[in-house]
Amino acid sequence: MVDIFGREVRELSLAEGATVVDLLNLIGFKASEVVVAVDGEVVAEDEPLRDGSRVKLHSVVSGG
Amino acid sequence: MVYAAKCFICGERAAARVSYLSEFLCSKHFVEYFERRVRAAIEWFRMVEPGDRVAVAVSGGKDSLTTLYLLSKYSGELGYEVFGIAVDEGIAGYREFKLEALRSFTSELGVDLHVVSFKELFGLTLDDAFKALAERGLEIKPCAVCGVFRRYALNKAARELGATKLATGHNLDDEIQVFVMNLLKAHVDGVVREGVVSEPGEEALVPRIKPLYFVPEKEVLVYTLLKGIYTPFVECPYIVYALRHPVRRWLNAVDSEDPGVKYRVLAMKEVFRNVLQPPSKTLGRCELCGEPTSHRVCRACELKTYILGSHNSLKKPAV
Repeated sequence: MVDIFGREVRELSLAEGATVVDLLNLIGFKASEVVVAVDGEVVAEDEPLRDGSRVKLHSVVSGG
Repeated sequence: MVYAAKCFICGERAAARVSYLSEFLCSKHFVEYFERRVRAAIEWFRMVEPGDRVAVAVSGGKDSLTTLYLLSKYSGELGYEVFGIAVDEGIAGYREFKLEALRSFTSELGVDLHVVSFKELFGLTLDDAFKALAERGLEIKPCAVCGVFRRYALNKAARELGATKLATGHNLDDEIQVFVMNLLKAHVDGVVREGVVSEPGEEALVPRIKPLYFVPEKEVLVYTLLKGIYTPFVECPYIVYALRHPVRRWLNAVDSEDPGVKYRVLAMKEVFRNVLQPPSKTLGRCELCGEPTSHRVCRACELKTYILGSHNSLKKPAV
């Protein structure tokens, strides 16, 4: 489950062994544009994802 | 549990990759690294001195809140006072949310907050200005007006409140985006002017300092999330008109392919600033409002006059 900036929640399936970077590539974000939390903890983009991981994307651009 | 990326200091789960170190850091060591880096910049460039009264320009976004938080944290030890100044541009559906978060944050921090508005200073909100600019085909973008009005408002308020320094939350990404924009516009004065601290000059201009100058924007966000500094995610509706937007996307795309490239752009900016001629320090006073300017009439008054349309013969101001 991926929460994108608190605006949209998507359920996605990824191959076993997929990492945060694979997820970002799938949904079209660059690593420099977002900070990712997995199950409530801020993580680096190499973090592996597991079945049922709750992912939240925070936008680096604050827009003002 | 096994994590792919581990902190290079303690081996715990990594919270971020820090391109300056080319290493991963856990949450504890990231916070230590970040605070040490900001403090080092403050001390190395002598941004503050004992007895200073530091105004922090706060928008309610992550960068300004982090600047206020850290300047407040070091104020006792380094012997200066801190307070916040917020500008209410009058952007419906945006500014009120940021101001609400800001009031709550400054209250928790125990720091005074002063709010000044475009409406009080210029007689119009940014929303009013946008309508007037749109009727003339947006020859001037709202972001250009906002930038000029904000600088004017912050300097005037800081001076009138007795500030000896004006701190802003500009981070490394902001600095290199403006540098590239200045290159694209062949705006040499802009390159020279935008440094980590402003050159001492005219007394009516409060000296500006930028404690986050060497910190990438993404690291500021990681820091605020780890420290629980809350800022609502609401975007300024006028962001789509900013040249900054495509420049930011391009720099992020390049940095994603080649991490660390942003530091090299910043280094090139500093090389340019060292070899270019500094702008003239002699300033006069605006004939209309009395604020410092290098022209007969300051940019803020020119823009206000253009927007209000009271002088039909006035040319479009160069911004």
